[in-house]
This record gives sequence, C-alpha cells and structure tokens, in this order.
Amino acid sequence: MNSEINSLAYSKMFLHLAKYPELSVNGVLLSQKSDLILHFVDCVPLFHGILSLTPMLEISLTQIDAYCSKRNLIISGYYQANENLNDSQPNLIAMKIMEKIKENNPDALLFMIDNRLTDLDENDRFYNVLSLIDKSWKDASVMHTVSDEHAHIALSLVQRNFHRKLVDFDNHLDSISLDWRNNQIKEEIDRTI
Amino acid sequence: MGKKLLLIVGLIALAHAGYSAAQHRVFIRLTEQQFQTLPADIIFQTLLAFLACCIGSVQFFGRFKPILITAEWQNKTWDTLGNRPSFMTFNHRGRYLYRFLQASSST
Amino acid sequence: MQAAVEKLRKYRDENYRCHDEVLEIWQKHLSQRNLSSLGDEKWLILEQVLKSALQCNQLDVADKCTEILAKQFKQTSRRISTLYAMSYEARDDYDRADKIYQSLSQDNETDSTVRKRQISILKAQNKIKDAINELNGYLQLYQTDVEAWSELCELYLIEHDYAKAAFCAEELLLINPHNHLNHERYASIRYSQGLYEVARSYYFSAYKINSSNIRTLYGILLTSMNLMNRNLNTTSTTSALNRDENLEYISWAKDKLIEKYKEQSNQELTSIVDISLQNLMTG
Repeated sequence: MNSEINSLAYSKMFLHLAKYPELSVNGVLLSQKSDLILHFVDCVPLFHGILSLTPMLEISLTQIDAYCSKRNLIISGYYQANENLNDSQPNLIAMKIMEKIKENNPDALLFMIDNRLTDLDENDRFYNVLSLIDKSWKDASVMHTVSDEHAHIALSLVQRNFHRKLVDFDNHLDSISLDWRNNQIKEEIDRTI
Repeated sequence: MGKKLLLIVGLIALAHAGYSAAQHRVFIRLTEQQFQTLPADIIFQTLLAFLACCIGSVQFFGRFKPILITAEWQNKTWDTLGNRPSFMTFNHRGRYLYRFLQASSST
Repeated sequence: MQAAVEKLRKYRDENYRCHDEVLEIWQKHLSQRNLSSLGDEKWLILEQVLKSALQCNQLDVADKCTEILAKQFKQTSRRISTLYAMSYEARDDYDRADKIYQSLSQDNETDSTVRKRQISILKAQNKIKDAINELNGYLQLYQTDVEAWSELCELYLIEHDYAKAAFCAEELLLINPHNHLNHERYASIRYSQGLYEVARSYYFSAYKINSSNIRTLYGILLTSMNLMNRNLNTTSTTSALNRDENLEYISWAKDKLIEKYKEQSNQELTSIVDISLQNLMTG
C-alpha cells in the first residue's frame, strides 16, 4: 500500500530525534482512516532512553487510542531510533510493538530511523519504511512519498529551538502539566505555511 | 547583598557593645563605685548583635538542605538522574543532526 | 552574563542533557568575553562546553576549549589527557583514545574515571556484551558506584535481560532507599517480567515516598488489573476476595489520577485519560 506523510508528523518525529540526540527514542504515527492510501497526519512521540519497559508503554497506547477515536484517526505507524549511530536495524522491541499495533491495523508500517541520514541539509528522508510480513521485514520505502518541503520545515523548527518545547510521553509522565499532543507545534507549522 | 550587610552590621554592633562594656568598667573604676551589672542597653545591644550575626552567617554560607531525606529527589526525574556523564558516548545521531550548527556559526 | 553562568552551573551540577543549549549559551554570551573574573569556575565551564561541543560534533569549538585548558594546566594532567582522549573518541579514533586511557591506567590503577571511559568506548562501538563484562568487573571493585550500577541496569535492559537488570535495580535501591525513582524503576522492570505482585508493592512504596509521581498510580492500576484478570479464570472464594481487593485498588488509583488531571485544568486531556482508563477496565 502506498503511503505519504504530512509536514506535522514528519517534523514532530524529527524534533523528537533532535531533543534527545544521544538516546534511542520511539513514538507512533497516526493516519486518517482510509483504504486507498496511508496518509500519516500526526505523530505522538513516546519515550527516550530505555524503550524495553512495558508498563508505561501500555498506558501510552491506550491513551493514544482514546485520542484517536475522538479525532477519527488510527495508529498506523511506529518509529524507532536506536542509540548507536550505525544501528538502524529493527530490534525485538520494534517487533513486539509492531505486532501489537498490527492487531488493530494490519497495514501498519515501521519507520526505522537511519541516524546517518539526520542531516536534513543533505537528505529529504531520515528513515526507512518497513512492513512486517510473517515475522520478516520488507522494505516499503519506495511506496512512501515525502514532500521536498518537509525537510526544510523540520530543520527550521529545530533552528528555532522548537525541539526543546516538544513533549514526549515520558515528559508528560514526569509532569502532567506537559501535554503530549504538542498543540503549540501544530500551531507554529500552520502559521508558517 | 542583604545577608552580607546583616553580618557586617552585626559584627560592628557586637564590637561596639564590647567596647561600651569596657568603657563602662573604666567609668565605674574612675568614679570609685562598686561594679554590679552592665547597663541594660549594652546587654540588649549584645544580644541583638549576636542574633544578627547568627542569621547573617547562616545565610552567608548558601542555602539549607531540606530536612526530609526523601526531599532530595522529590522533584527529580530520570532525565537528569538517569544521565551518566562518565559514560557519555559520542557515536550517536548528534554527529549528523547538528551539522547545521556549523553552517550557522560560520556565517 | 551572570545569568548565563548561573544557567550553565545549574546544567552542570544537575546533569542536564541539553548540549545544544550549552553551546548556544556559550556562543551567544560567553565565548567573546574575558572570563577571568569567574575565577576557577572558568575552567569548569570550558570543560563543560568542550563536552557539549563533542556531543554536537562542533569539533572546532571543542578544540579551542582543549587548547585553552591545556595551556592552563600541564600536559601531564590526567584530566586534560582524558579530555584529549574524548576528542579522539568523537572522531571515531578509538585506538588512539584507548592508548591514552591505557597509559593513564598504568600510571594509576585506581582511577575509576578512566575505566569508565574504556567501558564507554566499548558501548560506542555497539559491543554491548563486552561492555557488560567489563562493567561487571569494574563493579566488583567499586561496589557503591551508583552511576555504574545504573549504567549496567540499562545495558541489561537493552539486552532484554530483565532478571539481571532487576538485580542492578535492587543494588540501586539498597544504596538510595529514599529515592522514589529507584522504586519505580524496579517496579517497572518486575512488571515487564510479569511479576505483578512484586511490581505493585514497589509502585506503592514509590507512591508513599513521592505521591506526585504519576507513573506509580498508573503502575498500581495496571498491576491490579493484571492480577485481577489472572485470577478471573479460577472460581474459588479466595479469588472472589482477591477480586474485591483489586477492584478497590483500581478505583482508588483511577480516582487519584482523574483528580490530578483535573488540577491541571486541561479538559480535553482529562477526558482522554478518563476514556482510556474506562477502555482499559472493560477491555
């Protein structure tokens, strides 16, 4: 299935990478319900540092599910960046979370961040798109379209230090006054386009 | 600045009270009276100066630590506590992601 | 300038991560100034900026800092040599870095910083298993090193070895029994193993120490829910008792959570949390 991504989801994912450059991070991507094309319209950054602990992951996924049903969205992607620069392979955690997401949405895709592509002056896309078929990964990057402007928008947000304002679910659990929906970033992107 | 001032004023007042007490003894001896007690104002000044010195010097050396043993970590999160600078590594995506800093600092 | 220095001091003392911000403060407010009025703090700031520059791959800034530091302190200073080695690490030149560390540890075998750097080199090369071995050796000598136990705990978690990670978390608990984060981390590891009973009691002890830690309430809720569902299949009188007890915990935690979210006066988020908790209980 073909897929595309809007600037909001793309930028939030990148801001999460920029906020914790020395750690592994993960999150989920949301899309509108549609049978023809997966259109990723939002992203919820989840955790940084340790990804293999399950309790807060379960909490975060149920909350995002509740959010999705309100907005008529569906969790259809998961992204993960490993800590080591040269490590862009999906690991056990990615496999487990993808299997869980696929229970609700069999079309869900995995976005594996390639840390060596995160220089957005040089690259348009900093991840590889994979799909999980029978416990093995298939590269689906060719069927994924990224607009040229996204990299520019994401980079300019980092240059204006918006990554410091990004809130992931870990931050939310540290202090619930921080909202993981990151409305201020959506507003900023809407304003600049 | 205020705490410094309090300490200085306290010390001066204490020295002044001591000097006054000595002066008082000299005065008693010269007028050949029997010494009984110091005048109330000198005692009062001594106590007040002592208090000012106490407060001033305690404040001078930084803040108090909370008395509760759990308070030390109350507002901490894993973000700062889980950061281990002795084990910092440099082989991460910051190497590529923050390349734009170089371009912006050279212009 | 005073504000900038104070901010850097806070970041340094409390181990903040924001390396790009440290660099920004340095370049905007401090790099052009004469810092000698700061006294010895100047050298600490330079070391901090140097490390942050290495983190953000700003090698020319880092080199400038090392140059100034090396001029002030003798080339033979162990701390300066370590900084030189770290800048080799940032250039992926692990052989040269390791050579420096080796000669440093030959001079002084009890230097823990150097051994930690050698372990970090292994980690940077993604040799997690070797790093774990080395770190275990290190911990036999330095048994109360909190940083090292915490590092080992994370390395085991990367390897999905929950049992060994839990052991490290236990050590951390013994060293700092009043830190609520240690209780919560231990509980989360036990939960990931499926040991809900142990997890719950540690979530409770973390809550007792710090009732503002929201993870503990979620933890109590999740563990109780799992314990209840596990006992659902057996129909004895004890399990009915168990069920009531668990239900009580669940509704208590839920009420507390909703109360906390209401205090934030973020209505939409509160309703999302409310719905998600309902879904958890019915699903």
